[in-house]
Amino acid sequence: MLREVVVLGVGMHRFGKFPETSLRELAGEAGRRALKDAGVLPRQIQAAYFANALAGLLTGQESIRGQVALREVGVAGVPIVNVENACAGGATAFHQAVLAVGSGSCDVALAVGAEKMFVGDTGRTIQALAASADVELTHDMGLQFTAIYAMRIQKRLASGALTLRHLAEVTVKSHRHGCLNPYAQHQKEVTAEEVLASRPIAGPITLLMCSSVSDGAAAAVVCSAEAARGAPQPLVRVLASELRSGAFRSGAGEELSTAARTVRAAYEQAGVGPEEIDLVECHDATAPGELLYYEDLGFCKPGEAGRLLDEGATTIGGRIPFNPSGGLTSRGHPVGATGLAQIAEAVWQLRGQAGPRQVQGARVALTQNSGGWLEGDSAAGAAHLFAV
Amino acid sequence: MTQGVFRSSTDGEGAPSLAGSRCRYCARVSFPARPICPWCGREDTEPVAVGRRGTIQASAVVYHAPIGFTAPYIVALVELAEGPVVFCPITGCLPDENAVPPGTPVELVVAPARAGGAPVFQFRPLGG
Repeated sequence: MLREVVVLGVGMHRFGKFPETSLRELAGEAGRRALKDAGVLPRQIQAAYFANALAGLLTGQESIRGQVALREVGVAGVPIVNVENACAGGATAFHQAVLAVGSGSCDVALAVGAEKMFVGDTGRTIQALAASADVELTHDMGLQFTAIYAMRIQKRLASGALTLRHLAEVTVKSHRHGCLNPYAQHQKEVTAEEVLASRPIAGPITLLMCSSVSDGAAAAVVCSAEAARGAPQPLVRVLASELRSGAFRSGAGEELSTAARTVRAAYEQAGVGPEEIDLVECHDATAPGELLYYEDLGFCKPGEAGRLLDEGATTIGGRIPFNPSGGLTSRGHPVGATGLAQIAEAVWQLRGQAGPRQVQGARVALTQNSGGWLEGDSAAGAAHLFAV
Repeated sequence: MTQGVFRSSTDGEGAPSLAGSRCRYCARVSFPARPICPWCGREDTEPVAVGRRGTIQASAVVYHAPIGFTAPYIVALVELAEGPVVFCPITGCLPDENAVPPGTPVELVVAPARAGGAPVFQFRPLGG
């Protein structure tokens, strides 16, 4: 990065089921809140990046989604770029905004992620999600994303590294955190017994372990450190912003995952390692997926994820809280908005504004967002490091 | 399924196969076929029939089916004998959690995976 970039403001529309609210209204509320939080007027935004994954298939708004939606934020006339990177679109839009400011091409940029998944027919939404794979290869095969996670988890269960109890307990933790987040779709505690007894979805993954179809939006305003003087909120610095795509795989299975490569690049860019990080927002599209990320992101050795969970390290109040927001599993997963919701959570935590879910003394936060699926791995990965 | 991903047994080729490519330089095999070798980067590949046999790398029973499919059924990652790993449904066995453990040898079948669906490539336990 040529110059330092800071987050000036963030905002969200609550995640959940909002049958009466359109995509542009979701985006509008999140965007306006981010601008207000930043103390910035719409005409001060010099470039905007709009993430959405499914509107083309679900509402028919295939093109100019951002230009349509951002009029609700009062942003028009400036460059608006539409970003599609499956479930990693939100963090990808943020990455583009950071690059625009970091390169000096503008001083103040807006990133908004919004998704409208409740369209009166959940089957159609699930079908649209299957377009996040190579459709020529997987069409008419019954591809269902939970099964992808199930296959990864089953390997760990078979080796004894994880047990069904771990899958249940990480889900319980997610929902406990979600209860503390007013933006979360699910704000109800669950027991391990309820998790294991809920309807099976694929392999060992049950309904309560899964992120939900959701409506929602999240947004962030970034600007250069110089332009941020006099900002109303404590400034949160962007220490690293990295984006990767899935690599060719040899099939031998020893390569680093997309997520692992992306996060390692962020550690390198920031000169910060897992031991210096105070909280993580990771892409737990199923709650047990979080256990895989403990290892992938370098917070424990391979095979030790279960122990890290058992020690209570990853709960709020623990050594390294994961997903204090409730994560995708409890906050909900309106796919194009998720990456920016993770970033909003990191900013609130670092400012000390996270209320009952505050991670005490948080100074450095990691957000990790994954998208799509190609040849056995995520097709897109984004990672950001923030500090106060 | 688009043309060119597989050859079915009715294409006059005998047993069905998948349409892969082999690098003329490093001899490594890709599926789907690629004009540039993913491993050595050379633009020197030739078509090759692959995937008549493979082994199960991982599998999962799907209990909540997408539109048109009837649960439960099995999906898997299958490592082709030639190296590449593919995602596909598993047929020819009961949709049981232990039906196709990792390492199970499987053979290619080209058939629809749902009633009225397009033909797709699938695998079934060898000799099953």
